[in-house]
Amino acid sequence: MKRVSLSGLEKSLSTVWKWYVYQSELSLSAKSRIRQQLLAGSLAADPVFFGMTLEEVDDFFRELDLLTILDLLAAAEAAIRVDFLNRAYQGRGSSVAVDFRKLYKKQGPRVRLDEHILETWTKHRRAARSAVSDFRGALKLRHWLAHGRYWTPKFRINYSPGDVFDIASNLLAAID
Amino acid sequence: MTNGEKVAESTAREFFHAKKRKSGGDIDWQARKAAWVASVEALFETIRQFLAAPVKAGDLTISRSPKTVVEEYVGRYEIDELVLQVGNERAVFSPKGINVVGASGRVDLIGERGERTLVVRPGNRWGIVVSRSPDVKVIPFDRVSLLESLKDVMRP
Repeated sequence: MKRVSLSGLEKSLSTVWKWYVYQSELSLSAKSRIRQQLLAGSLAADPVFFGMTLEEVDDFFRELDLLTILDLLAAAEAAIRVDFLNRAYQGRGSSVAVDFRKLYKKQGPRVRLDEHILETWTKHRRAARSAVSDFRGALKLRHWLAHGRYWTPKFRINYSPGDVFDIASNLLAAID
Repeated sequence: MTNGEKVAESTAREFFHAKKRKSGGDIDWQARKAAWVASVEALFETIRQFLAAPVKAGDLTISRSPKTVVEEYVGRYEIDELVLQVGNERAVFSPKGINVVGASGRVDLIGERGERTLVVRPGNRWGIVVSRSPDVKVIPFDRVSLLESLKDVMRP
C-alpha cells in the first residue's frame, strides 16, 4: 500500500490559538485607538482607515477572526487526516481502523474528509456524532472562506475563533 | 461599608468616569446628527445649483429617496438620498454616516461604473476623496470635481 509522505509541518489547534490571542491583542489595541480618535473628532487618520465608518472598521478587524477560523479548521483537518492515515496503515486493533484501511485501499489519497472519514467515525463511535455534526456546520464556513466567499452563504457564519476552537477540540477529543 | 469597600467604590467611580471621558460619553449625538443632516442638505442644494443647467434643459432629473441609517451611538434615523436620473441611468448620492475616520461625515456617490467618496470636514467643507494610497488626497467639492466624479462613475 503506497503511503502518503507526511510533512510533519501541520499546525496544532493550540499553536493557532496562541498566535491568534497575540495578534488579537495587537489588533484590538489598534482598533480601540482608531475608535477613540474617531469619537474625539480627530481628523488625523491612517490612510487605510480614512473615511471608514465604525462598522467598516469593525469589519476590517474581523478579518483576523475569519482567517484564524480558516487556520483552525485546516489544523483540525490535518489532525483528522493524519490520524486516519495512521489507523489505515495499521489496519487493525479496532473496527474503525479496519474500515479506514478498506477506505484507503479504495480511495487512496483522494479520501474525502466529510463523506468518508467523518462518516466512518459516526458509524463507529456514537459518542462522536454530536461533535461531528458541530464540525460539519463549521466546515461549511471553511469551504466558503477557502473558496473566496463569492456566494451568499445560507448557513451560519457568525462563528468566533473561540467557537471553532471548541468545536474542533471536541471533535479531536471524541475520536482520540 | 468597610474601608476596603469604600476604596473599591471610589476606584470604580474614578474608573468609569475616566472611561466615560475617553469613550465620548458626553458627546451630544442628537446635536451632531442635526448638524450632519443640515450639512447633507447643504450639499444636496449645492449639487442642485451646479446641475441646474442640464435639469433646465430636460437632460437630467433630480429626485430624493428616503434611506434609513443605523449608526452606533447615534441610533436609527431617516435621511434622504439624492438621485440623478439621465435616461435609464442613475447615480445616487447616498449618506453613509456621521462616525467616519478622519472626517465629520460621508456621502457615497454610487454609479453604474463605480463609486466615489465625499467627506465633510469642520466648517461644512465638502471634499471628494481622489486617492487613499500612499496618502489620502481630498479635493474640494466644486463644479469641476463634481462633473469629473460623475464622469468617473457613470457610463461613458
